[in-house]
Amino acid sequence: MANRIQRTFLSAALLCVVASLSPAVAFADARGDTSAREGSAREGAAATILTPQVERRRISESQIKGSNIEVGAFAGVISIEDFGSSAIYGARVAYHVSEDVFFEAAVAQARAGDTSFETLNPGVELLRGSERDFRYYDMSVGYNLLPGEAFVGGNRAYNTSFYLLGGAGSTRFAGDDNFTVSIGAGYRVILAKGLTVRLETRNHVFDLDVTGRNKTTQNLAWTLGLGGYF
Amino acid sequence: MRGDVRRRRVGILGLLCALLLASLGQTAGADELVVTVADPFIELRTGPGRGYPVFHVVEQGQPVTLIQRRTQWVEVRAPRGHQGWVSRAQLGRTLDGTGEYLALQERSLSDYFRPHGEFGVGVGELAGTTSLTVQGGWAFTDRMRLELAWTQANSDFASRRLLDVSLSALLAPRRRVSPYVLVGTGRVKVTPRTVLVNADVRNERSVQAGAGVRAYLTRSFIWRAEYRHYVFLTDKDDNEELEQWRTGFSVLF
Repeated sequence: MANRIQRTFLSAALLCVVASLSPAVAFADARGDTSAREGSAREGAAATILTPQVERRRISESQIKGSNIEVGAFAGVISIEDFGSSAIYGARVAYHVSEDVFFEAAVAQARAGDTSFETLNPGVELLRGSERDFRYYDMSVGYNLLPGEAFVGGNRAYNTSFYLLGGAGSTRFAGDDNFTVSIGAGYRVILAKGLTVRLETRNHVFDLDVTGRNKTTQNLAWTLGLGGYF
Repeated sequence: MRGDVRRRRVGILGLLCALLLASLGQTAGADELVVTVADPFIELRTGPGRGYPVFHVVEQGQPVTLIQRRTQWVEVRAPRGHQGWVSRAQLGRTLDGTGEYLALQERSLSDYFRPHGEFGVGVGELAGTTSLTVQGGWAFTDRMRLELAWTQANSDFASRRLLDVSLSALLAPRRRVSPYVLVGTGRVKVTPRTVLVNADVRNERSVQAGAGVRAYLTRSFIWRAEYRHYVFLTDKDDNEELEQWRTGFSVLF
């Protein structure tokens, strides 16, 4: 008795497995043609396992999706010379020309704090209102100096690269536009699916005459950014 | 007013983040590109660069699915699900559906002679100060180009911003290196530095003529150097004239 129930269930299960292997089988099964069922099941299974589905068509490079553009946003801290440290945030777009070189455009903004002189002398204001806004744009060339991998634990590895950046742009601060040269370096970690995390430090150098004499200022920024390849 | 600007900025930033997330969520479509390995084997690296390690090889006759390309590397998926990056050189030795080698065409001189777009940056000198330029253009024949350029130059007295539209003609078309001439028109905004009193912001029209040399370097790179003579049409009795020298690189697309 138990044997018969087992046989019934097993043959029903076998039928289900065979039917799921090929749509042709289901069709044959509906007609109740047992020999056709077995034959096409074997062919169907063989086709799924052995023959790669290579279509007969020409493939050109333009059909492969390109992802040379990296877009991202960043935030961090900038030390504006004489005006203390402030929060900075911005956005950037990079175009990767080769595995080594990329071009990048960035915009960012911060709001300058008080100078020590202003803190010690209440009521004194060197800059008014929007003059304290620190905004810049720049265009840079980057070089991926040290590509490699970072390991987290025993089984996880992320692609990384240490890169150098150099560029030029313009900074609007104290109500004026100032020609700015920037140099920096950063560390890019590529997470899954082209998501990137970038830790970067950059020095923005420009001449400023807000304190009465023209002097070259060094404005160092540390930022952490999140981006993706498109 | 300031609140509006800030809100708009936050909005733009939000939009960028949304776009980023949307693109990351995309999955591969049903239209897969599959090629077959023709060389004894091809190497899969963990990243798109020679500095990333080889972690897998795919043998001759095996199919690989092409996923995306970045610079000179293409990400592929091997039969057992291994996913890695293959150099263009190795991928050029695989066969597509017709049994021929995969057609990988890098940008070449012939693309430069066909109608194409260009985008680039440059540095130069405008009236004795350093200038920065961002420019885009469309080469609609092998000789003529329509260009749009934005320049900023900050001197000790004023900040000048120029927006120019120009038409340039190559004197030696279908040559790798060619001189050219150009004419154009545009606008200039002169903002005096805050240390100067009684100076107004000026917004004027400009006309310009110039000449330069451009050279196709390699792949999609173009180098150019040019001189422009600007005449600013001011309200004063005399028109102001300025000279600009600049050089820069462009990529063609």
